[in-house]
Amino acid sequence: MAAPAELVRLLDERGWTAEPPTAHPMSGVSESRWVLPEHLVAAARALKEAGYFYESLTCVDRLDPQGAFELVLTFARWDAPARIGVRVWTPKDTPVPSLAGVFGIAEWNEREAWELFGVEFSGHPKLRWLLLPDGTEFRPLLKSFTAPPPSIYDDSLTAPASPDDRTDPDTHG
Amino acid sequence: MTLLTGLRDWIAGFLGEFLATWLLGAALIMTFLAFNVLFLVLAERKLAGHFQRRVGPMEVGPHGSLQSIADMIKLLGKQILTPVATDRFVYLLAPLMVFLPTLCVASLIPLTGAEAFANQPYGLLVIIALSGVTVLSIFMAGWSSNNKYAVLGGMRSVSQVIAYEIPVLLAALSVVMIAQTTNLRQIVEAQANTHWYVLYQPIAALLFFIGITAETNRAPFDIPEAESELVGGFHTEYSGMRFAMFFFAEYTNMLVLGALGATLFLGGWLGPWLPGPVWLLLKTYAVIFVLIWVRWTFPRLRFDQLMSFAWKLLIPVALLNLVITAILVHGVG
Amino acid sequence: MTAQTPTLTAEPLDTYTLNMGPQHPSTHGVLRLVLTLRGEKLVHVDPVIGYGHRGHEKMAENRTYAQFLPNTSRQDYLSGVIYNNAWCEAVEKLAGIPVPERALVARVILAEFNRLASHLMWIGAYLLDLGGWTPQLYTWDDREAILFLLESVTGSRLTYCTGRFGGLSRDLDADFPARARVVLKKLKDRWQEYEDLVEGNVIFVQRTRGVGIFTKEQCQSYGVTGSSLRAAGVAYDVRKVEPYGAYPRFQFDIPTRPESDAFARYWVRVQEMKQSVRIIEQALEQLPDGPILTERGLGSKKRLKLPVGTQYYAVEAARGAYGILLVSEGGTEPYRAKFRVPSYANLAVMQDVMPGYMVADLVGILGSIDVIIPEIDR
Repeated sequence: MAAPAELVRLLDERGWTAEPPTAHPMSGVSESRWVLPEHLVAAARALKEAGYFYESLTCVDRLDPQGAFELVLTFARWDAPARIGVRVWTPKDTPVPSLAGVFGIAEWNEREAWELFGVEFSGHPKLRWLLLPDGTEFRPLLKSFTAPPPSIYDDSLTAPASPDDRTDPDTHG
Repeated sequence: MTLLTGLRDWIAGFLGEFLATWLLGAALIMTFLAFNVLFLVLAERKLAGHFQRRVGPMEVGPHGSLQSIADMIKLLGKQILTPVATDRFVYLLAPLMVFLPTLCVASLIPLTGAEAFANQPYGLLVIIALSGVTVLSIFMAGWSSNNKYAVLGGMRSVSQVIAYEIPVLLAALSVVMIAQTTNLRQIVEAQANTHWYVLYQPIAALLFFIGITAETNRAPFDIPEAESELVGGFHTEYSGMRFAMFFFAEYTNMLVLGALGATLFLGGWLGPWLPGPVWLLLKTYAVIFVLIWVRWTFPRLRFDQLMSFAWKLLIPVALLNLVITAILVHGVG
Repeated sequence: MTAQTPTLTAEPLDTYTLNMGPQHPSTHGVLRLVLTLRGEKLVHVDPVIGYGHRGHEKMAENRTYAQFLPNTSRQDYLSGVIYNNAWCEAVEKLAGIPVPERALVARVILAEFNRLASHLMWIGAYLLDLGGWTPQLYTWDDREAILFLLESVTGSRLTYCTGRFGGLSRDLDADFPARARVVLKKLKDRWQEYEDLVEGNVIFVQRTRGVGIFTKEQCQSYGVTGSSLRAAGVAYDVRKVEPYGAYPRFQFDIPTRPESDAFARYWVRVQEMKQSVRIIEQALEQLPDGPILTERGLGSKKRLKLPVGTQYYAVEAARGAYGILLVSEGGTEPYRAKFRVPSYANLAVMQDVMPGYMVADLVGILGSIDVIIPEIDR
């Protein structure tokens, strides 16, 4: 169960994995699979039960030819050199199920992917800005974002904050 | 002394004997305390430097000896800010008030057998009562700043001082039992006939020392101004000379409580060759040296640990010590 | 301003909100914690990060692989060598660039010295968080010796950039082993002193025992790594589990401790320093002769084009497992680079761990996990 090869075979048997939408190889992991978005939560749960921890989430803006996001999740173990790459292919306007209910750290990683790329996560408890200032409306890590980074004093790119928000008497201290 | 007497007589010429004595006394004490703070700040920084394998301030004056004067000038020149949301009257009053009790207490410490600014029959009790007032102004500062860190610092300060007043008082009481008086001068004179009370009351002396460390808000009991938790604690919102007043009060408090400790346990002004006040000062600075040493050695206690340390350990031990003293004094004679 | 700040109506009357940071003496950089308190007890902790966000990942997409080298040591400024090496090794692995033996061992030596410096700095800073001022000066004195040593090789004291694809840009001097042994000797003489100064201190033990306990479930859920995980009894160290570089040829142990409290984390870090010294001693023994760099100019734009692929590469940094996910589309620049930084997970777990402790413990717990905010913000 714990060995990566057996685990991905289990995922295959249950019909959670998909055909590779791109021939892009992945290395540095023991096994990698493309997982269907609708089975992502179930697959993550199976990985957690098998003793894997959520290592990282990377979003890649794939431009050609489909125009989709590739999410690369890596899961690793504490006791053996086993790393499983879980790759998810999703069209840009389709939400991906959130893993925040399975792994605690997924909440932050997904917030990051959302603010930097605009990936929507369904069922996320608090999909808000993590690294960028609240109200940022641009998605800096998209390949289409080539503008010079706006200054925080340039409010043309951010949503106007209401004046009473700025001096919230309860937050000073 | 003749100079002082002459000065007093001259002032008495137009203000009357009573006022002249008091004015002159207050002026002398103030001057001495101001210089003492300058000296203590420098001593603390130098000692801390050497405890930490560095040299401390070296730039201003020979071996950095004028550093605290430079600091004082800097603090005088700083802008004094008053945040808008403060309770203005209390906020302004607190730094003035923090200094008053220590000043009163300083005048009650007997310097020699003959000379003292005040020879109170209940001197010890007055001192302990007055030194508790300092906490009031600390709480005033914390509350009026309208800052959560300051309020937390102020609240911690109140509960800490309430807790640690008790062991200090109990420790002092066991000395009173042996000396059979609360007059500080008589307590010292009683030690002239026997030994210093630190030999009779080592536990009380230790309790007293721990208590005054807490009362002066110094590490490891510097919880009201714990920098890594509460930024500046109760004086977070104070700047310039108002901040300096708190600083001043802390060091003055150290001196006064150190002197009280020296009086109660180390024989006050008693000592060979040198005049009495010099001995008292030397003993006081010895106590303060230990205070500084402790500060630069220990980490800070947590607030709840501090409280349980006082209530569950110090106070029972102090009570037990008191009972044993009572039995020994009255039973054995 | 933010959603994290509860409004007055949403807040129960017996609690209040305290905004700790981004300017606060003990938040280790620009971290903001929105605390909900009941008295001095923590009810809820909400870390607000991103004040130091510089967009390293976007920068990586706009630079060649070699041009990104200086950025690596600016993520975690206390383990610059390790991050620098990791970037080189990730690129070497994807590009198939060979590395000379001497460079492999030299990288280990520099990385372990860097880890020692980082842990020494942590001990000082942690004691400072707990209110003890003096140990800081002692540990920094030792760290200074290491920094001088690293400076003599790399030319810098904090943001090292000696790694090149296929080796190191500078060779270790002939007298480097001798000087390194002097520093190691000095450190070894110091362990006892640290133990007396810190572990023998009643107040330190009182402040750290039983404080900030992570359960294994929390560690798995958040992906906690590094000393914090080893202090929870899990012997996970990338150097052992997935050995990289020259690590397989050295003998060392992974210290673990089951308590998972702040004291255990302190103890584990001190033991790790002893193991680092052990590794360096072996590496100095085995340091082979030969070239330090395969070939000059391998990283130049004309020559370095990586094959198409996604590469994950993990190393053990001073704070835990550091991972680089490198996506190449065959160009001279990375198509995407993602950095899995250890402090990210170690800080995120705080939301679960902190409630129930006191404000004073917050400082003690936050300090004990050794977070570096710039690497979280990237």
